Amino acid sequence: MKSKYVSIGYSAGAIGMIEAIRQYDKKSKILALTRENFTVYGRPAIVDYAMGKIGDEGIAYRGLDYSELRGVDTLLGKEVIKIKPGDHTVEISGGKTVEYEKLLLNMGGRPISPPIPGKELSGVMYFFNLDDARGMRRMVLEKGAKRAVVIGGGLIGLKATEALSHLGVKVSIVELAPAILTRGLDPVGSEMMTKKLCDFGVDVYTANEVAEIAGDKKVRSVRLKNGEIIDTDLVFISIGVIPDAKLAEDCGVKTSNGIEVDRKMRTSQKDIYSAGDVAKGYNFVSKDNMVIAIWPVARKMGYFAGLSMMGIDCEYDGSIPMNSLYFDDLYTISFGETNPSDYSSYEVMEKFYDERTYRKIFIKDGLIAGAVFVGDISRSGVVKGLIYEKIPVASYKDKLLDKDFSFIHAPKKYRDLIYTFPFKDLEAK
Amino acid sequence: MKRVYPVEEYCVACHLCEVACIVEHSKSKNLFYAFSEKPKVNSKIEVEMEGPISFSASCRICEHAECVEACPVAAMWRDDETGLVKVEDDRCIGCWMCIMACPQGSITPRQDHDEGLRIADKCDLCPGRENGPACVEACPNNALVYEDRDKFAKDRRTLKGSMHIFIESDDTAIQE
Repeated sequence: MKSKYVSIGYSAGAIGMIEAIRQYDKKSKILALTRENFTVYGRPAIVDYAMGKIGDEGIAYRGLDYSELRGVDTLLGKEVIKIKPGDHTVEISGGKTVEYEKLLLNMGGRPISPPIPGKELSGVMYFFNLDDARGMRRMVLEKGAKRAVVIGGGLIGLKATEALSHLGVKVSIVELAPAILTRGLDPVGSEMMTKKLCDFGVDVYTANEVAEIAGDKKVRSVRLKNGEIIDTDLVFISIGVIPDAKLAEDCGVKTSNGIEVDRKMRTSQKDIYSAGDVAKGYNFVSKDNMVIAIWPVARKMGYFAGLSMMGIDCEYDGSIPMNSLYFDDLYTISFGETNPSDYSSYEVMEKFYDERTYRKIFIKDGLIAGAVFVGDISRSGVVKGLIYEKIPVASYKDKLLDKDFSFIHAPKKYRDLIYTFPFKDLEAK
Repeated sequence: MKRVYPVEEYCVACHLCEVACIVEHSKSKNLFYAFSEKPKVNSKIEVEMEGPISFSASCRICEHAECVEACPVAAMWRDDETGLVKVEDDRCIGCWMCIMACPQGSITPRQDHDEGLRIADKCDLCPGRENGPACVEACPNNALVYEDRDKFAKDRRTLKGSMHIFIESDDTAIQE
């Protein structure tokens, strides 16, 4: 089997690559390999899938026929065994070999499995991919699970909690840190979210951890570090995700907690590129390379990888961590730094509009370094624009907390740039 | 492609563009019923005001649309033929990733708790409307124009990857 462009993994990074290539080249063969038994789908939407709000057609990226639309060959349910950069081949399960000209490593991440005694019991699950969402539905709707413990109060833990409570399950969250969502929200936002969860009947245990999962084949209860015992039918482990870079390591691609890529998304091996949650892309605020495991960043990296793979000269300008977190009708959006260890080096502005609307902005060297929006999120993207384009805000920073803050408050020259001409983008159209 | 451009020198903040937008996107298309319809109809264009300055802002239909990039289910999608970026209401799951991604703040949440409605909403240039976008037609002062300015964008500096042009300080050429 032979294909000009091959992607290992079929998710956001691969979509970016496909969209970039297909802008110019409708003919060359593109092949996407995935170990999952489903076509490309919106991973962030597994929560809606688990709730039953959307089905297979709704979660599949652009519907079930996206691959057909873009002329992409797929190999689903196939494990890659080995990459041979010298031969430009990939060995896959079932003894097949795929030949490539350019290869994209888009394996994504895998959930961390902590050394908790009892984690092999039936009923201990993850909430990471579509199969997990299906598993959750099966356990709750068919097996009648009524209670669940979610280990880890991060983004995935919150999403698992939302899906479970929507399905009528009583959820307890156990978080090691003193607050939940420390990576995506500031302490105030985190507290507002905790309150929302409690209002919804979710028990939140912070500064605590699960010492043991107990049961006989099936989960019956968990014992916390402080000795407390919570009876439960299900346990969801969501303490974090690590890049799934083993394949890359094995074939000599340089890795260190993620695949090392340059600004053209090239790895250390010739003709091998990487994008998505497995790759360490550039963060232009912290000015170093790190894994930013969110959909838009994965797709943007994939886009640049795709351009590079076609031989187009481009340079990935980097991204910053950002999140759209919500539970029921409490929405939050955050950008960049939200929980700095050295508060003193930032100028922090914050404001409560009412008990469920809040905004916080971190300013460093006259530029916005981070922001948190809770409740009213409608113009939050403007702040992202100011961060991405490195627009100095010192002269109008007091306006940033205005409820209807927008470009009208920014200097006219910036406004003109946005509203007078169409945006030109990369050489890519 | 043709886009809606505001002219802030002419805008008097009368909000008639918003009214026209709501009426056009309502089921009844009637001024008297449009505002009380269920589910609620959002205006897809918004008048921004600060002191004596005002202008009406709507989707820029960026050539590299970050909202499309951010959407995990491709409800936000660029039509290959027309180039227009549209939200497909049936696909939208209301995750607000597009709102997070849009650097102009042009996308608003449209929600109605009772009706179970929760989708992203943005300018669609009034598809199929004979006289072009309703807001432009409604503007009494020509503060909104619907025209093709793509040729002006040609000479603009190619970006290294940033999706927008207005970077750093070297932007005088663009202003001219």
